[in-house]
Amino acid sequence: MTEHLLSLALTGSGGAGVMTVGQILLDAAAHAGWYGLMRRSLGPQIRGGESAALMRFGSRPILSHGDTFDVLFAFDWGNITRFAAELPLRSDSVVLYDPDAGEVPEVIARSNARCVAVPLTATVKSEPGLRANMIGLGLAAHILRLTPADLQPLLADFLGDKGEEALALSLRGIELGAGLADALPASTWPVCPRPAKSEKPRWSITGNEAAGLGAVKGGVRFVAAYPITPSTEILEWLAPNLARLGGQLVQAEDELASINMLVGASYGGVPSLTATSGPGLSLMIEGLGMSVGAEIPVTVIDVQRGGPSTGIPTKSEQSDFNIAVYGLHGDAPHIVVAATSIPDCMPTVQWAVSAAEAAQCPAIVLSDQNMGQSRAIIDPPAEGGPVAARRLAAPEDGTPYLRYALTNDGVSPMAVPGIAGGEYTADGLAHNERGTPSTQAADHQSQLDKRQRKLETLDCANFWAELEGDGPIAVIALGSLTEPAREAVRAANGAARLIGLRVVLPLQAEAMAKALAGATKVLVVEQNHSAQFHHFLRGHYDLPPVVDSLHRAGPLPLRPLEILAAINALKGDA
Amino acid sequence: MNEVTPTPELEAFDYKSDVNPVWCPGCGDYAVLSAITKALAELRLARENVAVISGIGCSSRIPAYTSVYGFHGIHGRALPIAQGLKLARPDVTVLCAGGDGDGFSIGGNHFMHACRRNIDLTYIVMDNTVYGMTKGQASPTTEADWRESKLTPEGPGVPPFQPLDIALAAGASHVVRAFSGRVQMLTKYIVEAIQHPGFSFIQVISPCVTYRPEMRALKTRVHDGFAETSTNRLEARRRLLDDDGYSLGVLFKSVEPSYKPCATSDEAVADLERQFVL
Amino acid sequence: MNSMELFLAHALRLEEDSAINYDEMADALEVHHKGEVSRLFRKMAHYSRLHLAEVERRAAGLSLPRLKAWEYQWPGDDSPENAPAGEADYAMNEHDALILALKGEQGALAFYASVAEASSDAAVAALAKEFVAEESEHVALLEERLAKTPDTGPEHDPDPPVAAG
Repeated sequence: MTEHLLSLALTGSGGAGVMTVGQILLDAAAHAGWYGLMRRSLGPQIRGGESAALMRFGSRPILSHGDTFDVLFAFDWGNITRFAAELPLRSDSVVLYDPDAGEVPEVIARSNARCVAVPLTATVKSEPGLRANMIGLGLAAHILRLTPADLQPLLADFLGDKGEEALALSLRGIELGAGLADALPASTWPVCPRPAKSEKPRWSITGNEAAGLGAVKGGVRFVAAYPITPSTEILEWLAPNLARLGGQLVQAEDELASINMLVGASYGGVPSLTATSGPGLSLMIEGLGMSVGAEIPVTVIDVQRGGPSTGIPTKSEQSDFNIAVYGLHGDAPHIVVAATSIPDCMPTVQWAVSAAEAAQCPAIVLSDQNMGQSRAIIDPPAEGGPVAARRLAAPEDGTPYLRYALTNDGVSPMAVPGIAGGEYTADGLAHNERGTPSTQAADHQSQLDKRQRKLETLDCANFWAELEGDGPIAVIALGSLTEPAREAVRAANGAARLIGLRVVLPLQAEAMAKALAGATKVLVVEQNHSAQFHHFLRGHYDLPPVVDSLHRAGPLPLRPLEILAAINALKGDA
Repeated sequence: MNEVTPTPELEAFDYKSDVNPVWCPGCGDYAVLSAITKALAELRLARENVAVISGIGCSSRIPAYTSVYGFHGIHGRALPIAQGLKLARPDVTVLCAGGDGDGFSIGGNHFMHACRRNIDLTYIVMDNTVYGMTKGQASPTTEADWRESKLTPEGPGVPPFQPLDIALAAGASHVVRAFSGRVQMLTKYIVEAIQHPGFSFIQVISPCVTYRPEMRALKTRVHDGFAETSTNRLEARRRLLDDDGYSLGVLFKSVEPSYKPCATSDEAVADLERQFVL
Repeated sequence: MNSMELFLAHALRLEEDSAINYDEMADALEVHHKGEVSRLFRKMAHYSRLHLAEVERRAAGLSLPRLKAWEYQWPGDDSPENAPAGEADYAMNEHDALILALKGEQGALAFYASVAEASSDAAVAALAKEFVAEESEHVALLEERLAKTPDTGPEHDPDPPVAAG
């Protein structure tokens, strides 16, 4: 079966309604049988500014952005220069624009793409009450061979209680937009036949929603929240949905409070989680250190954005890798995992929560804006691994309970309030087996050993990485770059293999050695300025002698063709 | 306070652990520990159903000196830990304890918001107007002209933090000042605070005999200035206008709304997944 | 204090608090390597326990009221042998410790004397008088020892306090 893919960018000034158009289009396409992906690119403004819906559709599952856009539909040219770099075009791309919004700007025209004028403004003025975005929706739908009849059932949902008249006007706008498309020659459009309708119902989900779902599947029933872009949607999703499961979310006064509230709730025996981004993670670091020392499991999802400091809150980067791995003070073994795609946010968070519970330590989940705030049409995700429970203590009469007992696997059964005979004082001070503060070298050493042992014995076998192919060049990709890397590996025709590393900590020496067997070269792919992941891999793993790094700061995502080019360059190296 | 099975056989002594305090001889915190254990005995709370949560500082060592569940956390964060525990485990009686630096300086923001949230727990601040564990620096409650610290040789130079006034302004529903030299009275206040359905704040003037030896004389300065309890917040705040800082008693008490999480139901995760199906 | 049960409940509380309090000071002074002072407090705790046992013997068969911690009626704010705890100091010498113990015993004596004086119950007054006699003995012993123990001034400590947090 021929595979059809289409990349479409909808751009406009904030308030032009391109995000709504993108959302309706994605849903309508999904109902018609398309898989799809919609990323958002927004300016820093609360309202207004610039916005872009960056969409990709396919007859097969789509988890990666493409290389270039087949169609750019500019509702207007407001602030286009600010994100033109995020809209790569080819000479055979099509640019749809409204002639009343002005000439095609140089930043777009220089791509030599075909520019096709569509009279949006003129059409809006042709009848009273029309809105440009609905006309645009009708036109954009045509590119995917969707008709007004495909859009109509979704409109009512989007318009909510705006009334019959608004619905009628919107439908009229869609029809006029479809008419504008019909008036253009068929050769204007990429070949894009409607796919067969799927038998099984598909899901529409964002990475942040999938992360929230993973949290509750992992058993999380307490969340303390402080809002921060681009992670807030996880918390907003959890607030009502946790309550439906009998759990609760509390809004904290800051991230210092939220991490410590988690520690308190988890000390009480309730699996706890929060979501944040770089600046919030920085504030949580001290609390995470306590979670290591006092052995209280908590999970923190970091939806990364451009950094340092406030950085670029609305756009993606993978530059919190180092703080997640190395940020804790003292020798502080903990879990760090990276979700590899939008749907993968679910099982990855689920696994992280259950690993934290099993190992009684903190887990940090790395996501990023690119996954968190993007929506995908997917097949229902596979169930995550089995959920490990926390090992609880059953103290016996006459035997003093040792909270931090030195066990073979390092995990000491934990008492929680309500368990008689298990009364102990959890402590961030170095302590002995009982938990009593101790400054003695032997106690410090044995507790450090124990905490390290817990992670060495953690079973990560079926989860540690996404693997595909067996070519001699191993592409080790981080987080949301796993799927673009997969496209590149597939396009490399057997020259490469993919290792999408999920479990960053604890180190997976054996599994990595096995995955690298036979590989002669490595390409490390990540989205940050200083190649943090590359240095980590070089520092901790035995890699083949030739290692290349493909890294770039956000927000411009690394694209499959760039990764393929890097693979080909390595292939060429003797 | 929660309904629990009475355990009549426990005496105050049974709520003490066998760990020896790091406190200096003469420290007021010994008396606070004694009052807490007496209060727990008075309420006949089962040891496994009580938790004492603290931050960092001399007084924050207190959980390990009790035989109930405890958490010696990090500097300034005792209240978030305590609130997280109480929200997750409303069946547990939660006491939070620490010093003036821990509660009013590094933890000041949490103090205000804990007062606002009015979650059912008891917060005991052992106020000795000094940082003892780091060798005697000025704390937020130290007088502006106190010149005994090398860190602020000319005195901290700023007016002291007013714990009761700030607690009232931020919405605390049970506000008390006590003195470690009056254990019986303090015991009564702690019992009442635990029984109060909301956030109870007790400022305990607790002398540091090592860095503020002049505090030994406070037993002659404290007085029953708050013998009458206000149930009107505005009136309570007015009474603070001519407070000398040594009035003891329950200044304010009022049953007020407490933070409540969203109403819950008992659906299954599979029910949640339906929202994603096209 | 006009009932035997009420009086004995007070005596029990007084002696028990006193024993715990002396032990606590003994422990604390031990940390500061003040062996003499610590042993003195330990001994005082021991005497309090002996007295406690005696009070318990007297209370056998009686049903004592379970008073709330703040319902005890002392001459001052607190259980009298408890009161001087705030005067302990890591640099205290034996002379200082004897003064502290003396204050405690005098407090107890004052309490028992006030009951002996004021109780309308003859049996209570009589028992209180017995306790007055015992406490007077303690006071006399302590005063005697104090007279033989010169005040050598605060113990010299060349080490500054440690920063521990």
